[in-house]
Amino acid sequence: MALHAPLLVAAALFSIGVGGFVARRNVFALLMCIELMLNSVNLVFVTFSRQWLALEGHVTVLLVVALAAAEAAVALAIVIMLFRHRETLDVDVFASMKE
Amino acid sequence: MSHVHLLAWILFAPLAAAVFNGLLALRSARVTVPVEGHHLRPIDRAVAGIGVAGPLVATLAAWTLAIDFLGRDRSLRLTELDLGTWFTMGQAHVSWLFRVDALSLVMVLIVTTVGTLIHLYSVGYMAGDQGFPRFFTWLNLFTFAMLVLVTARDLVVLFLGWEGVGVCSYLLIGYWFSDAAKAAAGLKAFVVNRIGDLGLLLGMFLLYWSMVPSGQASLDIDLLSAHVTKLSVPLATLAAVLLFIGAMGKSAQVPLHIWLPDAMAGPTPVSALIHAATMVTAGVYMVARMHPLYHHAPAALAFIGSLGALTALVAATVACTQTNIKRVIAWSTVSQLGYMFMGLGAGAFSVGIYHLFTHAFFKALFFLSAGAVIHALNGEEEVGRMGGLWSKLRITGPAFVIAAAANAGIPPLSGFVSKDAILVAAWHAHQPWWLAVGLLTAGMTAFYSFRLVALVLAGPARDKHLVEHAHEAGWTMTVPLLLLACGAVAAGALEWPHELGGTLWFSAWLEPVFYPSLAHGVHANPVVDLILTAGSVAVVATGAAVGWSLHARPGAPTGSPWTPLAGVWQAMRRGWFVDEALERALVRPVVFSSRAAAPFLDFLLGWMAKGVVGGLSMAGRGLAVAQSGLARHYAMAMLAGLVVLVAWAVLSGGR
Amino acid sequence: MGETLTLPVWMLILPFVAAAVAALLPARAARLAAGAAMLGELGLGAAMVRSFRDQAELQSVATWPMLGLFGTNLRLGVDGLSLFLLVAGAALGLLAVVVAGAGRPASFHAWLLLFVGTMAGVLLVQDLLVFYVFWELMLLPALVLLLLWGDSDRRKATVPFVVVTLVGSLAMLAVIFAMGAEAHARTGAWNFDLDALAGVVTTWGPDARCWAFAGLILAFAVKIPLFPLHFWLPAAYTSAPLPAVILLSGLMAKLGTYGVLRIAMPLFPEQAVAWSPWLAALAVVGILHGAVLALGARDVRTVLAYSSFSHLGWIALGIFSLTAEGIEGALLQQVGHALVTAALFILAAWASERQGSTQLSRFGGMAATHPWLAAALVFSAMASAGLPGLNGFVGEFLILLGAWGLSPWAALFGGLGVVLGAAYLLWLLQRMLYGPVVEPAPSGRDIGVRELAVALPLLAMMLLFGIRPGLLLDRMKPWSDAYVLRFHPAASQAALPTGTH
Repeated sequence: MALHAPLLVAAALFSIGVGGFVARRNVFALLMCIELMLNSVNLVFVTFSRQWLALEGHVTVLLVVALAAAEAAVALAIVIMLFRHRETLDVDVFASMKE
Repeated sequence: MSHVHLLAWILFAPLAAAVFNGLLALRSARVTVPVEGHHLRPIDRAVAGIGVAGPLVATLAAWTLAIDFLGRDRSLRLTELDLGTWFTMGQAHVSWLFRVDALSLVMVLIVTTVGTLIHLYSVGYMAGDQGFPRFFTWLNLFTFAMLVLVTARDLVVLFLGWEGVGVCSYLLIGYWFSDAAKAAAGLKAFVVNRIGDLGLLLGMFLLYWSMVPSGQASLDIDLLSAHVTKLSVPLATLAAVLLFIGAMGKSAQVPLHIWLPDAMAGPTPVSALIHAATMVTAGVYMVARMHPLYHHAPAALAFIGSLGALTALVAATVACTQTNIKRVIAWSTVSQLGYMFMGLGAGAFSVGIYHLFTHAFFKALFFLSAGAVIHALNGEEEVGRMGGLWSKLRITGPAFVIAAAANAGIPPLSGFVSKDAILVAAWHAHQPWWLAVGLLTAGMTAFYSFRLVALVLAGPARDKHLVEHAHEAGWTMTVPLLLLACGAVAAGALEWPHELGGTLWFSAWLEPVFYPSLAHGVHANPVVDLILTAGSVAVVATGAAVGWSLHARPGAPTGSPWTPLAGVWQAMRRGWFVDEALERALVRPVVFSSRAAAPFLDFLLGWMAKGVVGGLSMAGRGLAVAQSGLARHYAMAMLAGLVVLVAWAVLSGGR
Repeated sequence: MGETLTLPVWMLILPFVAAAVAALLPARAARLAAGAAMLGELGLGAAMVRSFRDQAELQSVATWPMLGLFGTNLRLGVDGLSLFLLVAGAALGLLAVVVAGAGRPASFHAWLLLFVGTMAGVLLVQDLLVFYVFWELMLLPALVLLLLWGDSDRRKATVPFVVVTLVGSLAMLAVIFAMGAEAHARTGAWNFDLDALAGVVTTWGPDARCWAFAGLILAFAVKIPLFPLHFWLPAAYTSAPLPAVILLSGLMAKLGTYGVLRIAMPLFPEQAVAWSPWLAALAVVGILHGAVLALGARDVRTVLAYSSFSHLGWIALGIFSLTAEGIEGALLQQVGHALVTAALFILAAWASERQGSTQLSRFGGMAATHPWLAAALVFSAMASAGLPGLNGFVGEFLILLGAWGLSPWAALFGGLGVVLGAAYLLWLLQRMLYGPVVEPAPSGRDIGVRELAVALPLLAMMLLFGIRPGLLLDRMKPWSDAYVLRFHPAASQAALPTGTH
């Protein structure tokens, strides 16, 4: 009973994140969607950690938060570099992975 | 000097000469001094000295050995030279083991004695040729290889000599290589011989594997001789026939005889030494050497004799019609080799070898005197331009007549004795057909021999200008002619028939090698023998008379003497079209497959490989579409994958 | 347990080190360095022959703990099978550097050295995974030499070569991993050592062993090449530069037969026995097919390429005869053919250089203008045709003798190759050397002292090994005698009592 609500929220958050990631073309939107997905996973970790009274879940969440922060820092730096080069934030322009 | 040392001298003196001359040949090939007329350059003098000295030393050693053997008990007439192991095969060894016994010694004496005379002759004949050192290198090397062949105790070493003489023959036939046709004749000789050699190899393999179960596999001839009597008769017959196929190639038996007439492209001394006196008789020697096997396989012997008779007849018919002086003698050689195999087929090995012995003298003489004629006419070989040479060539002329008479079998020359012995042996082997064919062939032999004598020597000159300038050759050429003529006349004394008051020295000499019973069995009935001899003499006399009288008169034709015969004459002239038939049956299919069939097969294979490659690259291009380079597409693909995985997990109930 | 630094190890390291050095040097110095390294390699080989005991076992074994991939011990060593192939590799490497000439850049020599080094690796290592690594690495220098320095139609040659080789190699890799996994499943540790795996695969079912044998044979048959996998060969041999051809036909082809002997047949003896008649039949077809193609070819290099294919058929025939005689012959022929094919390709290249063409229709009468070159060519062709007294004969004789032991038909049809071999070689000589001198006449001097320094040792060795094949055969024989017993269990039991005496 107590599990339902947080898990539904997490599922909703994850779906929004995935949907946004696939649908949006703005780089910042994509980064935010990734954050959404990560945080939905965090929510699942915390939920189950509470459920089973195990600390590993909380620990993992802390790890994810730290990683997410690092990732955001690197990603923003890359985005700034990209913008300077191409003057746009549209990811469909960045198709250099094709080569 | 001990026997072993003598044997070493016999073998290696010609080899040393070959090596020395080979170095000189290589040197002179680069530093060419122009030759003027029939003169020897300084380098040629050195080559001639060494080239004749090598075989001469071998000859002296061989005769020393022979004289020593004569003074010994017949069981002690044997010497062996062991030079260690050549190679090992499975559990068996092939050894550099050379052996001289009574049979080998006969061959050694022929090769060295006749060989030395021909070397000496060559000095005169080849004088003025640019490739003089090369010629003597090959001739010396040939002598060595032939000596290896006749002294080898192991079949594989024999095969070394066998192929060695083959390659020297190839090189000497194509000696004037700037003429593509002559070089091609050498190629033909080698390849046809290789067909025979394959038979010889397969025969060796069969014998080897038949010995493996006994745990004593070997190709040593003595061990084989002891072993073959234990073979089943069909197996022995197969082995005997396979070995004989080798002999067919080397000794020019139908249908592998086609190379020998073409081999006349080589210089005449080569024809005399290799394609008359020695190499072509190697097949006869090999069969005689393996006589225990052939005794054990009567069917194979019958085959050999029949094929020999066929060859003798066919080649004699062709010899009757040729107009090239060397080709007449070449076909005559094929025919005489047929006689030898007839003798072997009759089980009379010593008789076959005896004909080989006498043939070496009179056929070498025949070729060398023909060579002297050619030399006198500045290279002319067509009898249609000869005639009237008797008064011009006072030494060559009589030598030519003696050779022809001996070849025809005129008594008391050596050819008569040996041919008569073969006919008698055929009769005693209960082969009346061989005898009939042999008699018929004897008549034809006499016919073409005297036809040739008449066309070359008798009557007025057909080409006055050419014949007027004819000149007798120098001493290096005439001395061998005289000595060989003595041999051709006197060799008959060694086996003068019993019924004519003679003694069979030659057979007695070979008795320790062959079965002693044979020599006696052959001459069981003197009256029958006498009748046979008289018959053969009558046939020969008739043939000789016809051949002479038809061609000795002025204006005698070189073509068919009777017009009704013209069609058959033409077929005989072309060698009964055997060459053309083999060309169609064997050569063309191989050429076709080499030019068309096999390349097409490879084209197909390559096409299939290209298909595989093409398919792969197509698939690659198809898959490349998926790589858009857009992160969104990849994310979508991941999502789809995730959905599939989750769906699969849910639907399978978590198992 | 062996040492860690033995002669084989030095032989393996030297070419790689030398390649690295040569790559950094200017061209002239690189050539000198490459020559010196190959001379050193040859010296090491000679030392190895000297210290070799005529026994069947692996010798000069070096064991390097934990250096095999996945943490297994890596063993290196030589035996009667690999000894003379290694020496031949060094000799051919030296020859390749010498005939490469001064015009080649440093990288060319470096790649040549790498080629020799990888082939030495293939011959030395006893660990299948490392073997595979060297096997694939070997392809790299071969391809680079072909692509960067080959003739104009090199691209056409490369694609089929690469594809068919990689397909074969993939099959081999799969089999090797399957065997390693089997070892892992049984012992809990990955192991690719050849001896260890021989015990492992015996538990496989007949089907699995069959597929594994087929996969290995496929990989090796491509390199030999066995009919019908030969279609890559003529293009590769005719468009590669001469030094690469020497190594390709001289040694790389023999690594195919080496792999069959070293890996495929010992691991799966029953399959080898069961399949040998069919594989021998393919070998015979290859002998005849190659000979017929050589007869019809119109380019001197194509003739020699097909000739090489035909001769490799002999070697395969000897191996698949599974008789002591046949395998001895194959071992001898592996080395003998390396010598002859190198000599023929070199002499033909010199002749083509002087004639200005490789088309046989443009040749003629060279014996008159270039007598020494002609003499060397005739001599080598005779050795190739198996003339007794030269080095081709004993191998061919033993192979055919062994083939008769498998089936007289194999000896008969294989033996037809003797006839056809003489035919195409003499036909080649006829067109190149004899007849009237063509227009335009071949130019340039006859071969001189420099060329003779290359050719004479080869010719001398042909004669030496023809007369004294024991110099090679005596080293190989103990190995091959022990080897064949694996395929004849009955015979090995019969041989045991005599062996103990």
